[in-house]
Amino acid sequence: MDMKDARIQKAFDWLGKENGENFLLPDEHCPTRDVFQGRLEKMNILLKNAHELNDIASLIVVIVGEIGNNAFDHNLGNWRDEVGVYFSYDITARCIVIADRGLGVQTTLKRVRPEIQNDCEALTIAFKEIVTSRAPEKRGNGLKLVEKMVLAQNMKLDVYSGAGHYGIEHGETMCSGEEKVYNGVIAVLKF
Amino acid sequence: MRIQVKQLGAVLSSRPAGREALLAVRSSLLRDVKKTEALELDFEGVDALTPSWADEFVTPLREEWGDMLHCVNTQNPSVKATLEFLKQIHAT
Repeated sequence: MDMKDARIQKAFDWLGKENGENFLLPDEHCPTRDVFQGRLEKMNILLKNAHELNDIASLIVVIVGEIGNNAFDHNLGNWRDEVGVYFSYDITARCIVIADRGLGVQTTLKRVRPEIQNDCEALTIAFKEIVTSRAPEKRGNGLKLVEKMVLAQNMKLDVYSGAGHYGIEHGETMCSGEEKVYNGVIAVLKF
Repeated sequence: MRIQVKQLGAVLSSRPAGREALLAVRSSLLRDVKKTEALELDFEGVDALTPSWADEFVTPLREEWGDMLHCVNTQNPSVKATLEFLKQIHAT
């Protein structure tokens, strides 16, 4: 992952901290879903005004909306310390970052799939299968469409959780183990 | 009966919001509408439709109205992709 973009580095720094409180700036921290929704709508307006992105603006909003809302869906009441998500973007640089200090994908999915062995397996299941840790609710399909959209529009999505890194780029997906462990989730979308 | 979905928001995201929208619509616009009447969901003016929101709003309506439910003005790329995706996953 290219850390040259400071907003990407900040996400990794935040998740790496012993205590994540009082680290984020107010305008990059969404403590509640409502705040995230408001900022998502603002990003939508900026994307609409960038006419060269007209064809993919709505898809970008959907991808970011699904990932951000997943954080709230699965971590309400279970944040490590700082509640909510880090949400930062640069339309000109075509980069969007979302991160949370929640339970991480493996912990949440193991509630319903206790046989999951590692973070990579959990991430792959999250993107490839219709499964949810909020069983018996009928849900768990959003990331499948996220992957389809990223692939179809030749965007790049990297998701880190625990020691796993799931990447979607150039029509392919991959999952690899990372040396460092990130407790929570970091998602970086480039378009 | 035609529902202007943009009245529920331009960026339609999150399951709780979809659920809330359905409850609101059921108690007002759909209160006196029979399941034998055609129901149109008009997506004109919607900027982004996520599968989570749509699964809480469109899917229950489709289950109740079946073939009497029609989605119109679905050219927006996310609306098109999401509705198509929901059709696929609920067909399996």
